[in-house]
Amino acid sequence: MTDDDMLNSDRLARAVDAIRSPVGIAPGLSDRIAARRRRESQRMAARGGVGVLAAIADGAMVVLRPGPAGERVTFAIRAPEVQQVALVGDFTDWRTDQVKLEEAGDGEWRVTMKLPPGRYRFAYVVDDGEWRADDDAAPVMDDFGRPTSILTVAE
Amino acid sequence: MTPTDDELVERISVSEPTALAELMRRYGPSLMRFATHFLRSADEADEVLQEVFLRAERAIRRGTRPTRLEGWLFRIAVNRCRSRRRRWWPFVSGAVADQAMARVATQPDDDTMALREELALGIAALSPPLREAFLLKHVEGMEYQEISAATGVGVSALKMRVARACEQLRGRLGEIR
Repeated sequence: MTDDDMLNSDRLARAVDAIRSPVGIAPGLSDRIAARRRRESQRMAARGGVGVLAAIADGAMVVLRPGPAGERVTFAIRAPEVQQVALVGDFTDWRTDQVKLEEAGDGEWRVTMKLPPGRYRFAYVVDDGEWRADDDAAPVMDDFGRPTSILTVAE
Repeated sequence: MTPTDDELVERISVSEPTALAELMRRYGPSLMRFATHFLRSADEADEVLQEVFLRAERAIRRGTRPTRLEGWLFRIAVNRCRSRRRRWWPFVSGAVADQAMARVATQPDDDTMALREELALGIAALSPPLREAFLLKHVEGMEYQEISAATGVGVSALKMRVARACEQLRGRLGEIR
């Protein structure tokens, strides 16, 4: 069966044509983005308070520069709909029972831990076993097609 | 003259004032459509849209040069939608005319409207993986390789998901006369 054949039940094809109609964007998107930019800058500054000076999303890679307190790195993800979040990575041997994130309010989950300088691959695993990449980076798929993120802790 | 995607990316990278607005004009509607149908909430879709453009702008200014701009934006959008995913509309009601649908640009006839509403309900009732694959393939018209790059799901699995989604939707649409 070809892709087009799949839609060849006419009602489905017609319905799909109808649903392709544009969906409007509320006016003021640029202003909302500017406001979000300000909020995220403030949040980033707050992260610095727990020892991370800067979290820089550069395409698929997150670069964290440890603060003066040492190699403390804060991992955070927004997931208001889940009950628990685990951090997995090559530094946990990909085990889900090693590092749990704590709910930090407003749907955000966080954990701060020590990591020596180096390059790491990590992901968040939410309660039903779904893997998610970091909020601040586009996902890099692992060999099993699961989203992960790359983290570099600078010297 | 309309800039190419590559030119647009370069303009964003040097913070040209109108460049991000042009990016939003060019890809905002399709990203909004995908997010609205996926999340079934205009407000949530708008939030996703903000996040997509903000992350894209930030990445471009830090040196990212996507080889295919639209696919890259969809990859970010898929990731954001998954992160915002709720516990899926367990109770699908007949009230589908939410805020986003009210802003649909065209005014189709009654039969087309009924079909569209029935399909919207059917899409909402699909499991998230089937919904995601169906929307990207048949509503956004992406190729399987592009969808695979955006979702991290293999092509054969995507084909299976799309086929299952079509089967379920055909069954649903067959019920209305």
